[in-house]
Amino acid sequence: MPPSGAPPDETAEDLYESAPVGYLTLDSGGLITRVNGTLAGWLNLDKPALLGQKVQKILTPGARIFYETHCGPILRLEGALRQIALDLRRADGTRLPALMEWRRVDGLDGAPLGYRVMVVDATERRAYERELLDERERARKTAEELARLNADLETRVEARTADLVQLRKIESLGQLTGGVAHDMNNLLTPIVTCLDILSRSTNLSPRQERLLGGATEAAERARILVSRMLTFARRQHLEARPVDLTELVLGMHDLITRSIGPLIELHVQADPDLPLARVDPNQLELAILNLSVNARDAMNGQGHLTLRLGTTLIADGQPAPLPAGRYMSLVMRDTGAGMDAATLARATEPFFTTKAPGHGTGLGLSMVHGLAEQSGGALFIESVPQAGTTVTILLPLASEAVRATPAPPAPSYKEPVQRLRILLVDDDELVRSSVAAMLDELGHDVRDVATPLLALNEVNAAYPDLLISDFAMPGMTGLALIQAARQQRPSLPVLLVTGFANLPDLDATTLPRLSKPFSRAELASAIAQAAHVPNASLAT
Amino acid sequence: MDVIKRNNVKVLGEGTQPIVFAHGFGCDWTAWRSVAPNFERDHKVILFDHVGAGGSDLTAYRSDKYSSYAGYVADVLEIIDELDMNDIVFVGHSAAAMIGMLASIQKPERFDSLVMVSPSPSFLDEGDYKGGFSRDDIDGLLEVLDSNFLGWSRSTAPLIMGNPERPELGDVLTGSFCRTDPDIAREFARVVFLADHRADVPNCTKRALVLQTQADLIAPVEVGHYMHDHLPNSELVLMKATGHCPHISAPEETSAAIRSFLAG
Ligand SMILES: Nc1ncnc2c1ncn2[C@@H]1O[C@H](COP(=O)(O)OP(=O)(O)OP(=O)(O)O)[C@@H](O)[C@H]1O
Ligand SMILES: [Mg+2]
Repeated sequence: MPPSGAPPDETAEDLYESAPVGYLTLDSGGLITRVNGTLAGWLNLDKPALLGQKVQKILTPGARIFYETHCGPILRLEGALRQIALDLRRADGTRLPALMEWRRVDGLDGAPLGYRVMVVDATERRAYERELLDERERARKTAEELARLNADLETRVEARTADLVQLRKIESLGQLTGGVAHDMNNLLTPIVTCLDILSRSTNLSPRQERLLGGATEAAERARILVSRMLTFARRQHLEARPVDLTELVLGMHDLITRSIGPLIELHVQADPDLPLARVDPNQLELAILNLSVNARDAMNGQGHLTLRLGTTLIADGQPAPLPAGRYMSLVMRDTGAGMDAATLARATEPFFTTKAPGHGTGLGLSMVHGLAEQSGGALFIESVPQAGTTVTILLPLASEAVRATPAPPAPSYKEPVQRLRILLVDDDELVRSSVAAMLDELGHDVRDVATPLLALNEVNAAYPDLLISDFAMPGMTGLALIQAARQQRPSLPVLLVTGFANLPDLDATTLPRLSKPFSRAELASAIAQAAHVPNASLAT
Repeated sequence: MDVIKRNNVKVLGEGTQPIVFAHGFGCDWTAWRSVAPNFERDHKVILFDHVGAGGSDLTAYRSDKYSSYAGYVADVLEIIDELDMNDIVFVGHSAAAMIGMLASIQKPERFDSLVMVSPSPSFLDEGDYKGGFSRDDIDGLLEVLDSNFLGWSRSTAPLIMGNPERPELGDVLTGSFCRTDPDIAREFARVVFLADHRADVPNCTKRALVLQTQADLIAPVEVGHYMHDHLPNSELVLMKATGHCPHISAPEETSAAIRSFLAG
């Protein structure tokens, strides 16, 4: 008996039999020749049942495949296997997860004598591994999910960027268009003026009259085109006022029917008792006509066009290009060819058209878009290829207070009311001389100068009855000139002539003004108005 | 795509008729190192690794492509095209015996004959057919694979495979045998052990040699007979060798059997 407290007095045999590891010896053919008690105990088998068995027999079928396909070849080729995970099969069929070490024992001649195999019970370790593997799998899934979300985000950012690029493009096109329209106006003014003067001369031959008529019509079309360009550029001078949309649309019924042709059915639906919208009625009529023509073209002359009037509530926090609130909605739906995504994305771009040359300028929708936005509303277009297009215009409501105010009657004029001494200033030689000729025609006494400074001298020296000034001039704007002139003559009647109708500075004034180009009649009527409102102030 | 690099293809030998050696599940081309040299004098010897094994290009692995034998078969046919080979003797071990069989059905004009070492068209028992394993057994295999490939065991799963940042491991492992990428091995195991290609066997009209060992615990002798019975033009040789890998455990007997098949 060893003294108590001393380590166990083990023989080598005890160690072999009872060591806390399993141990096996195999012959060169893989048959078990010896096995220790620990392993036999783990497997719950008697030693004699194990001896002479192939070592694969104590493996589970799955482990046997792994042994045959992975371990066997390496053991044969390299002579050792370190810490291989294999599952052993107990007598009752249950599984014992194990870690095994294999060593080949070679004889003196180098031929294998057999193998030494050590077995460690790896039950707990294997359970822990499983958890690790599950964790790794979860992490992988999370990473995949993240990657997917990321990719999603990237496509969304890309789409947004594309939208922004498109917006910026439209913005710069707007500036360009505005500039071109302004210059065209300056060129049109003398053309229209001269045509007007010419058409008033008597003794014209029929042929001359015809030619003049054609030229006048062409000039008028050019004027409309320029006006659409200006609307798109949001530089149109809008006469926004409360408008009963139902009345406006019903009033246009014949016009629309005529423009869409006999085979397209027009349905107008309006909610009863709609509030008034705040919009320029003339421009809105133009917009509706533009949309009708688009619908006709899309339907190839056949189908249904529905025009719906109602109100829409834009809620707080709703993603919309508009502040929250109630809006009038004008919806036009056609059953035409519709647009694919690429066309839809560019539809409101100025000069974008899919129509044959000569059949579309590509300004229709851009005009409608410009009008809606400049009016404080918005334009939405939805389209399904082969199904149709729905265009929605939202417009702000006119406040009830304004409702009662009748539209001011168009000023009438009888010529010539009175011969006036008019001081005309315009830096553009062509415009100046043609307007001067027109004023002369109207029976006025004209003095024309090319610069604001000369004009100021004249105001002091000649005491004109009326100052007609261009707006955009080098050195000093027409507005500044009028301000300076009124320093000297506070009650001087003035008329401002503008190419850009809707300059921000001008919005704040009630000065009488006239948009280029204009006819003689328009000039006469503007003069009559200006001369009668000498006290119009610079600020509202 | 460089097929030669992807599949780590090696061309050796002095003969003209190509003999292609294809390794099975769990191994790489080195499994043939004691057999292939015996054919270098009379043949053009082609050795290669399936994608995922040995020196193959692991970046070429795509789970969808290799989710069935079809991806592996496509690779073999691409190697054949790339090397412009005809009149081929295709020697495939286990899984590769099936790959060779399927390739020869797709492009019979390229093949002369097939040598199938320990083949099995299906490892799962089904009705009268004794594949040798149940679905549970295969799940057990997958768990053992996971456990060994987790990193405890460098013997079969060298970290180098998934570890391009540690090239120094490459040196340690040069000259090692039968290396496979853990994740790929797992998916390859599913392809090999869950596939059932019994229906394709009768469509293989090429001359075929079935090499069956004693006590093959993976492809039992019944399966060898099944192959022989269902291949229209086959010979069965029952070898003295034991185990699933006679080309490793008994290279001389294996080589002799192949040689006499080719002579006959
Ligand atoms: N209702 C619609 N259905 C299908 N496509 C349309 C519709 N409205 C517009 N589009 C498409 O949008 C393009 C631009 O329309 P927009 O009205 O701005 O110009 P346009 O009609 O081509 O020319 P314009 O109106 O100046 O004569 C059209 O060419 C057409 O392709
Ligand atoms: Mg249009």
